Amino acid sequence: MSDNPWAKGGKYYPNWIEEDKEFFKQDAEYITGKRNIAPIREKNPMTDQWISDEELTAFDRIFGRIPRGNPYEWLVKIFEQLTGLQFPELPADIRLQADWNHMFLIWFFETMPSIDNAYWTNNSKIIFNDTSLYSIDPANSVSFSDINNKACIKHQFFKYADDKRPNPLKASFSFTGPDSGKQNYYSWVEWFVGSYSTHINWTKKDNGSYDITAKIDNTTSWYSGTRLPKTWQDKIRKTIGFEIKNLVDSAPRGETIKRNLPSIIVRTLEFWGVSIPSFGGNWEQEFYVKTNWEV
Amino acid sequence: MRKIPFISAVLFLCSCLHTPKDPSLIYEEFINQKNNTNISNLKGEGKLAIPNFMSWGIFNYTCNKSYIDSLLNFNDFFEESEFNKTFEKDDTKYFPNDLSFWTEHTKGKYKIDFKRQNCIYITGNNFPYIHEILIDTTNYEVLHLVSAMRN
Repeated sequence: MSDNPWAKGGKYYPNWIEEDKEFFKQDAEYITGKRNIAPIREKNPMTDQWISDEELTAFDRIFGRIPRGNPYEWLVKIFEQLTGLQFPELPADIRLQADWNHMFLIWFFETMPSIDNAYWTNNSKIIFNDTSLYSIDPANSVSFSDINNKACIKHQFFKYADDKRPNPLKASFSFTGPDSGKQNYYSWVEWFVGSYSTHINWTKKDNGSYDITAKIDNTTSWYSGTRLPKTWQDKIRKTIGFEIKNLVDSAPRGETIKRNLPSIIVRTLEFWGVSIPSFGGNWEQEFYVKTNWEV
Repeated sequence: MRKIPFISAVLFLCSCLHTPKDPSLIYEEFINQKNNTNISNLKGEGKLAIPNFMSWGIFNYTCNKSYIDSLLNFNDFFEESEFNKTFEKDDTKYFPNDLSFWTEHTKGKYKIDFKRQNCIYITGNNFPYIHEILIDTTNYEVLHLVSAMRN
């Protein structure tokens, strides 16, 4: 040991200098591609010891399994491993004019923003005029206008000869598992609205095309996405004596959490002036759709 | 001690959230029809899933002539829904052409190469399940596909 306590090896010599030198040496190797593992040097809070190379390798093995960048992909991977199903890829949409992400946010956070060519009739219902981008997108969507898919509205319309087709015609679109698996087939319109029924009023024009007007009703709620299969509902009812229809209960706006709490807690919180938050309450939409179809 | 209710809840959920292996039980789960005496030699498999619209089923069996009538008169729906549709005959050209959604899980275990000119096609919705049934009228062999829809 040096006699000088401040020299290298001395009592007060700051060891971090050597550690930093080692760090930057490893970092240089890392940057030039000689090392695969980043030179992380942290203390393990459980043991208060520097993390060893073996521990680093173990962490890398664990975290290396998580796809980088997108937590959604990671959740989907877990879901797929648990269920043995392949979850469909969500659409990367360039076909739409309206902001459908905004629709998800309006539903989830239960807001009432003003939207062009749309009006709220009460705090849980909105009507989109036929000039609204939120009505134009459904009119151009696959679910409304794919003539080759029997799950879609246009196919059901042209299945009838003109003299056999009722006016209005009741048709329904089915958002099905097989079609949801086709990459970029459905857009966010279908992923948001799901299946729907509609009454189509039609007029045949002299040029052989058809003027189409329709109203699509939709209620966005937890039920449509988290519904349990009926037989599971039955098993749960037989076992515990009451019904659970979906993983997350649907409820009116403002009441999704309140309805799931015991009334004594709700009353106590309300007594103390605490406002109970709510997310994803039932939200009704009416889309007025106008378009022109040819065979 | 606090872990016990949690573990019990997880075990209980796991016991409910399963798909039976017996094809006759899966068939019942999808169509709400028990002990169907009009069908025999039933083979098949499927999956009940969350989200529910990812559920699927595929079956091969033979049926008798009464089976067709029993389907066309079927009205034992799981629940009231605007999406329920009674079974009806449709043109076989509308039977799904791409069966990969069903066959990719089953690796060629089931007969799917039916001559459509010999077949009748019956389809209906017992919400949330959509049934597509192709019946070869020369030998009454059946290909029955089940998919699910999201409301």
